[in-house]
Amino acid sequence: MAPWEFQAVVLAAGKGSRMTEITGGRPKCLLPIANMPLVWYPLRMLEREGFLDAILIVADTDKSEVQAELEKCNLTIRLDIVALPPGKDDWGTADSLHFISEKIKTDIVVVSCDLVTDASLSPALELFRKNEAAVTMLFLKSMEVSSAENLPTPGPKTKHKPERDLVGINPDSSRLVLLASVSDFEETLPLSRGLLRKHPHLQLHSRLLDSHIYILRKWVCKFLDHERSLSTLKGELLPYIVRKQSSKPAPIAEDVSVVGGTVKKDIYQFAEESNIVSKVMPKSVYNDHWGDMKDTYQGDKIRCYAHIATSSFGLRVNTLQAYASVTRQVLQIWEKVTGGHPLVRLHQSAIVNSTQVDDSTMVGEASHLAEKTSYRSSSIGSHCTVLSKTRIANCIIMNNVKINERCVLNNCILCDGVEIGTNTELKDCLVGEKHVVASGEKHDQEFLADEDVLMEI
Amino acid sequence: MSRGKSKKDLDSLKTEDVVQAVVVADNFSDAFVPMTNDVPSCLLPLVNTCLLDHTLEWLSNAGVQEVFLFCSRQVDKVREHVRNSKWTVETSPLLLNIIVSETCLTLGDAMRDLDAKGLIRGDFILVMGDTVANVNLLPILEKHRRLQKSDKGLAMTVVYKYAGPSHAGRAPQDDILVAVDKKTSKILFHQKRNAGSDQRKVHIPMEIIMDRPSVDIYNDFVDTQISICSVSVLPLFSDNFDFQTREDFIKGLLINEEILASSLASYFLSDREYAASVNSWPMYKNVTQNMIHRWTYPLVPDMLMSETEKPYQYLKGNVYKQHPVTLSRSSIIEDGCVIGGGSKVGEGSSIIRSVVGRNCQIGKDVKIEDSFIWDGCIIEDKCSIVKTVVGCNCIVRQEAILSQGCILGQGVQCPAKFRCSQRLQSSPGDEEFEQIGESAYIVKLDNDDSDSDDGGPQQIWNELFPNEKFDDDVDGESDASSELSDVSDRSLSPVLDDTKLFYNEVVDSLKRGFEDKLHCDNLVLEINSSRYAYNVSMGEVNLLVVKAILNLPESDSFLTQLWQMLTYFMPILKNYIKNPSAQVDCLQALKEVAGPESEMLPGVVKFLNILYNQDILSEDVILKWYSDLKTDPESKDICKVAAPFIKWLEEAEEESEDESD
Repeated sequence: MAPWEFQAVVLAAGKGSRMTEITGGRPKCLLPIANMPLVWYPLRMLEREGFLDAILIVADTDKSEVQAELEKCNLTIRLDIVALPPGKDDWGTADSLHFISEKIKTDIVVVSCDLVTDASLSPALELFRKNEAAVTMLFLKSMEVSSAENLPTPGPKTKHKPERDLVGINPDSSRLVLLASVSDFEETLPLSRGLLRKHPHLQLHSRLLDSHIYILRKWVCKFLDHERSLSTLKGELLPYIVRKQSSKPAPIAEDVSVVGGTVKKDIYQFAEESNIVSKVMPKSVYNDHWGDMKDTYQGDKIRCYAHIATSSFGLRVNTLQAYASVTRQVLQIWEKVTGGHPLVRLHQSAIVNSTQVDDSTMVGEASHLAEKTSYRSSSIGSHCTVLSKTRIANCIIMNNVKINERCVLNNCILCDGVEIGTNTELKDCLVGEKHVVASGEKHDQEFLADEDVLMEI
Repeated sequence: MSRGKSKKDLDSLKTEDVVQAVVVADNFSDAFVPMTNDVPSCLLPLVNTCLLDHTLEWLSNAGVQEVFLFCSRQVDKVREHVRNSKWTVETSPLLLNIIVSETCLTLGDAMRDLDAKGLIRGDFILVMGDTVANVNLLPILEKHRRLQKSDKGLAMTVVYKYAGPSHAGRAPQDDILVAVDKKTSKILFHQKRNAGSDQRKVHIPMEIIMDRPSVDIYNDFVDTQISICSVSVLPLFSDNFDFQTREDFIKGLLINEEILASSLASYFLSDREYAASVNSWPMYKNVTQNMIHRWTYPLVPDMLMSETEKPYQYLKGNVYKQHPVTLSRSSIIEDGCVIGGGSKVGEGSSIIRSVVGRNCQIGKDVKIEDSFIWDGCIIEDKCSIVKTVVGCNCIVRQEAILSQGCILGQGVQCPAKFRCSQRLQSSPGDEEFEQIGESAYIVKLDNDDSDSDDGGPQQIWNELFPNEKFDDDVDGESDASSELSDVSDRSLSPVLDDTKLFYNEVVDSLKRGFEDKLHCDNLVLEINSSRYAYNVSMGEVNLLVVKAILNLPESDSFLTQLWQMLTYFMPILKNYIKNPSAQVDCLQALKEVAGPESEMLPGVVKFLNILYNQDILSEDVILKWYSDLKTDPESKDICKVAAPFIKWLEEAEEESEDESD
């Protein structure tokens, strides 16, 4: 890939609204996975795919924090960190793109900060280039939640009801024909005959995971600039473009003389093919379908494609379940996901006096683990202190946590600045930011946090 | 499976090992009327060999050992045919049993009858007696049995063949849509185009999509009418008396999957395999051409099917001649033709893309194109036969012109110089068809059960060569409706409804017409074409055209402009406002435009007067309109304005009455 062919945009301004229990203290994109911030994984993926620079969009309050964290990670990719200005509460993904529209010079690859995957981008990029696509999406086989240890997700039991996408792909041409949410339809899915005539073989998927890697043609960004009512990519822009593939531009001339008002540009005016393509197409014998005498692409100006990475691992860390699941699995797939990035299990400045630290435990910077403690499959952040006679298994412990003597922690997530009193037993629990768990308590499947935090949730 | 097993061998095998097939001799439809008046459909000739022989030949090649031939009509003819065929001789590879049930009217009846007779012992292959194929059935049977192991309820494997949306092998009535779970080959959804009330959209139940990771929807396969049936199929037919056709069976099973505890599997033929059921004229034409072009190999004319037949010679350009044919020197035979033995072709005749049966006499300067002439026909000099089927023993007299889906039943004598593109038969029939010559009557079909919603009677007559324009129409419609779903087509491009769009177009046309002084006839044409484009009813057209004219003038000198335009557009008004109901529409438009404070209001009287004088509006309609107007409180103003004119009208009426007295 030539470095100037695509610009990468990483969207990291999300608040983690589906996992507020643990995102109170730090932005979602900095949640630790194997002691690396979440946003590091997509950035590392881009680096692996040959990108030299990327635009990283973060919320205004997080900019300095993110910058500081990423500096520690030794990324070679050049980052242009853009903070969204305050004042607006919810920035949609499309709004964010609009905000940086000045910086967009070429076709772009939009990546979300919460993707952990070993899938390669190249098949999707290939589809995009080959077919002069407007949009190409990358889908992943959705993962069954890790059955290896079969641990429950920490915290109170919640009904986990994921939103499912309905994705229709023509498997012969990889054209993305239908994109909707399953909940848009009640009893039946109406499909028009015309569509089925164009795409006589259609695969409908209901369990794919959208990787949130979108490759967008430059004109799509321009259209987005023009059409400000579209505020999200997944929810609004993409279904709209996918739908527009099959319809013809409205006859313009008639409308103008009647209405007499301002000419509203529709999407087809943006969807100009590049000069060379429009010259080559009529001369080429290439056709993407067979069985009728229609033009290549059946004359569709706007074309969307989708690639399904069937054999790849991939998870979107946007729920507590996914977060718990990915932290458990990350070490097994470290090689593939990071492309051979060296794994720092025990930070050199950590003081580990315990002899019972197993191979799948990570210890962060300047943490102090006392003697006579044991650790199994856990990750411990920086500046943590664990006092003796404590056992920790399957836990995620963020920074500045203090755990006193004789505690037993199993399958818990402890946020920043938590303090656990002596003789405490926690199983499958979440402990919110800066909460102090009193000595001698026993909890099972609970969310422990200060009153005001609980109120908010 | 080797051929040529004797009956003794069969007996020694275990009964499950015998591959059994049920061949249904009749297609239970009137698709081939009048050809099937006294012959069952399976005995119709296709490339000079009857369909049943093609089917049996294929079955014996495909590994079937025992065939039950199920007859319900003209049983004697089938019996006689079979008796004279190679299937009853000692060395026959097939054990052929004829089952007779003359009361059967549908496939469902036939299946129930078979169930009652209890002849079938295990899985069997169900085919129609009009199938042309070269598929090896054993792998399909094997797959069926393999699937049976994992799915005890598997009742039927339906065999599909690829045919893209505009494939010639896809007859309009065979347009189906299937949804399949690729992993298990299970059929989840099966819909014929005609079945649904909504022609533009297919509604796929969400349930089948949600229950599995992915569903494959195919719009590019046709049903070959071949099915592999489990033992449970026959009892299922018996238990459900509403299953009349195979289609009913499939549908019934899919809808009541849980209740009937039965499922369906699909099998897609590979590109190298051929299978088609000749159940309509388009299929007849298509399969004939495929056979001439050797897609059905080894079922091609030059492969000897029976010892009694003379061999065919295969020449370049896919021309087949059976020994002995007499062709005159100047005759032209080219581009995929079959000429049966004993036929003679006279000087200067040309035969292109056609099949001529045995012992036909074709005179001089005859033109035969894309047609099928069956055995023993006499075509006299200078006839032109294009896209026509001529049944056995017909006589076509001199200079007759038969074209475009004309079908002559057996023994028809077509008079000289006769032009025809209809179906003729040789006897008057029960319904007293119109006679056009000695042994020639025009057949009229009652098209209740045929796919009349596609194009009425015309569709039937053109069935042999479906109108290409018909296809285009479907396409045009699809483009307009190809928006995926109605949900949330955002405010971005406000969806104008069709009448609104039509109205805008009319306004545009008129404006331009008036400015550029276009001829009114052309404007009428334009309006009519927009009318068809937006599918607007005639009443709405009348209303909107008048409305458009009245709204056209600019506001400064509204009335002066209006009178100019009115004079100019008078031909258009005359064209549309022809009958009382149109007049009502016209007045309705006036009422809508001339609301309170409208500039039209002062011109109402003059408008009415002009139209009245031009005989566009009649007295009665105006008076009726006015009396309705009076009861409507909202149109008080217009009522007041119009009153003098009405008064004048009434007086004029009285006067004229007086005079006549």
